[in-house]
This record gives sequence, C-alpha cells and structure tokens, in this order.
Amino acid sequence: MAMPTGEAVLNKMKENNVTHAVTVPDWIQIGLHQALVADGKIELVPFCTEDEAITAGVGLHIGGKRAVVVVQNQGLYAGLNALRAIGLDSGMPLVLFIGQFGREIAEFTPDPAKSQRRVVRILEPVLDAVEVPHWRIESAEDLGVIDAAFDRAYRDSWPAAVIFGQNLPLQH
Amino acid sequence: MADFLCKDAIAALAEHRGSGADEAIVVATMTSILWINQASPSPLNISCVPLMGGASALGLGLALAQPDRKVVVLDGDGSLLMQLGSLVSIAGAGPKNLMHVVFNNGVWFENMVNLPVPGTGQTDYAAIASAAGFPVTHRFDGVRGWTEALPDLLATDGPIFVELVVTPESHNVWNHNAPQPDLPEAQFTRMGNEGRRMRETLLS
Repeated sequence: MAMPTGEAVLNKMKENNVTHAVTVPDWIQIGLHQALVADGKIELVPFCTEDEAITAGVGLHIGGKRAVVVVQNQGLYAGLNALRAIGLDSGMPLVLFIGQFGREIAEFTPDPAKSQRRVVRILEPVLDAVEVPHWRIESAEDLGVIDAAFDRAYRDSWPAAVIFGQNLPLQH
Repeated sequence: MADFLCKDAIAALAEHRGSGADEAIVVATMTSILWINQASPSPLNISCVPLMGGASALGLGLALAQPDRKVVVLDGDGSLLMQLGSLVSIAGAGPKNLMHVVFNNGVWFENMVNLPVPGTGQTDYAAIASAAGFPVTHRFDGVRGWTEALPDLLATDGPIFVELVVTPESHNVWNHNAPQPDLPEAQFTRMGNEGRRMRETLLS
C-alpha cells in the first residue's frame, strides 16, 4: 500500500485548521514540503534548530494560531528539552509530524522496533519515555490518525506525534 | 559613569511598553524575569523558564501570531548563545513587530554565582545580529542612550535587535554559608500558566 501524497497530508492539516508549519525540513516528508510550498495557504516557517521550531510552535498557539512541527526523528531527539519544557511541563497542545529517517526500504520490516538502525528503532520508545502519544502512518489508509493526534493534543492540552514510516511521494 | 544595570534598563522599558491594545507582549528569561514582573506586571508577560535559550523562538512565534502587537524579547547573552541560530531564523521570518533585546552582562547566574559565558568581553552581539540579517541593530552601554532611543525603537518596524552592555550585579552571590536555595515548584509551572493567561487575554 502506497504512502499518502503530500497534498493528502496537507488537506488533513487544513481540515484541522493548521495555520503554520514550523520546520527543520525532513527527508521523509519532502513531498509534504513540496505541497506546502506549492499551495501557499499554510505559512511555512523554517528554523535553524528543532528547539526553536517546537518553542515557536507553542508561541503561535499562545498567540491564537495553530502550528504543526515538521521534523525527522533526529530532530525530535535534538529538540527534546524544548519539548519537555514548553510542551510537557507547560501542558501545551502541539502536533508533531516526525519522519522515520533511516527506515530500511529494500528490506522493509513492518515493525520499526525491529529495524537494524538505532535512529529508527528508538523513536517510539523515546516518545513513550516522555509520555507523548503517537500514531504511525505507513500507508494512505492511515491518514485518519492525523485527526486522532489533533483531537488528543487539543483535548488534553498536550503534545502528540504522527510518525511517517516511509517517504512521501514527490510531486516533481 | 554609573553602572548600567539590567533592572534600570527594564524599568525604562516599562515606561514605554504601552497599554490596552497597544501594550507590548514581553517574553523574559533569566535575570530579566524578576525585573519585568516588578516594574511592569501584566498578563502579557511570559517567563521562558526553565528553558534557557528559548526566549527568542517563543517571541518569534508570538510575533507571527500577533502581527499587530509589538513583541519584546528580553534575552541574555548566555541564553542567546544556546540558540544563536535563532537570529537567522528571526531575520528570515522578518516580523516587523519583534524587538529582540539581549543583556550582555558576561555571566551566567547573575548575582548568584556570576560564572563567565564564553567570549565574555569579546563578543559584539549587535554585529552578529546585523550579519544574520536584522535590518535594525543597536548597542547601548548606558541607561541614558537606551532610554532616549526607546520611543523610536518601539515605533520602528523591525525585526530590531538591541544589545545592552550591562554590569552584572554581585552583592548577593551564593557562598558556603548562603548556598543556592531550593527551587520553588512555580519555577517549573509558571511558563505554562503564564502562557494560558496570555492566550486568554489576547483572544478575549
């Protein structure tokens, strides 16, 4: 089953009233980046570090907007202290889109816990350790988990993560 | 020349931050948290703590969300150094309503232990901001220049970067008989509580 297109993910963002995408760009989600640039309806704000993107995402929420943080697994690891402080300790809603950079494609295993690569294998355990609920997107059929992540984040005023397991198809 | 202290610089800012729909949002971190909340308590103050280095990005997020309201970030030199790239992020986003103030006191833990930050006395933060792409940068080493410039600075389109070269206070540093105190619970919850209060104020 194919991964969803960037446009399909973008439409889910619009359905969930996202105004800004704050990002250190992600290899896995390049198809989404392309869709965001082509569409231009959601403001795309690039940052130098994931700490900044996460912190600014909550600043946007406090100011009345709704941001999604678009990063890869390495970025989540790099930004953990900001997520701890302004997401968890502060109890703020924030949805993160995280790409599983390094996931084996040629010898694909459905369970990322069985990946040979630590950068892939530890993502869900790290999210569990910091008490961030997470959902996987492994095919277009999984797109509905984006709604679930937004519902949980804004119901509980808490971060939530959507994990993209394989590359989103490129537009061009 | 009299010492230029952080608290005096913030007292001057408090005189000019405006009121009502024109009241500036203030994002403070480290030493400046105490002084802004003494000089100008407001639901539009938020303390970036414990998240050293986060004030600039928090201010950028608020500035993008509230483009019609001035946002002032009260940052420290040690804090900025932890997220120096945020100068490039801010310059790239280009919010006209953001003024990023950095207190160059040369120390971490001002008036607690005063440990030197890297490059103390050598680093020109205004020059770094200018090179990062800030269209307006200033550097003041006395309260008079800062106070006189404030009205124009707050009325000028940004993003603006201001370096204030201040003297660290040192009359109350920790010692063997007066060690560091336990941290109150509020230190770990205030950013969220102040953020919710600010959001409610802004959206009401």
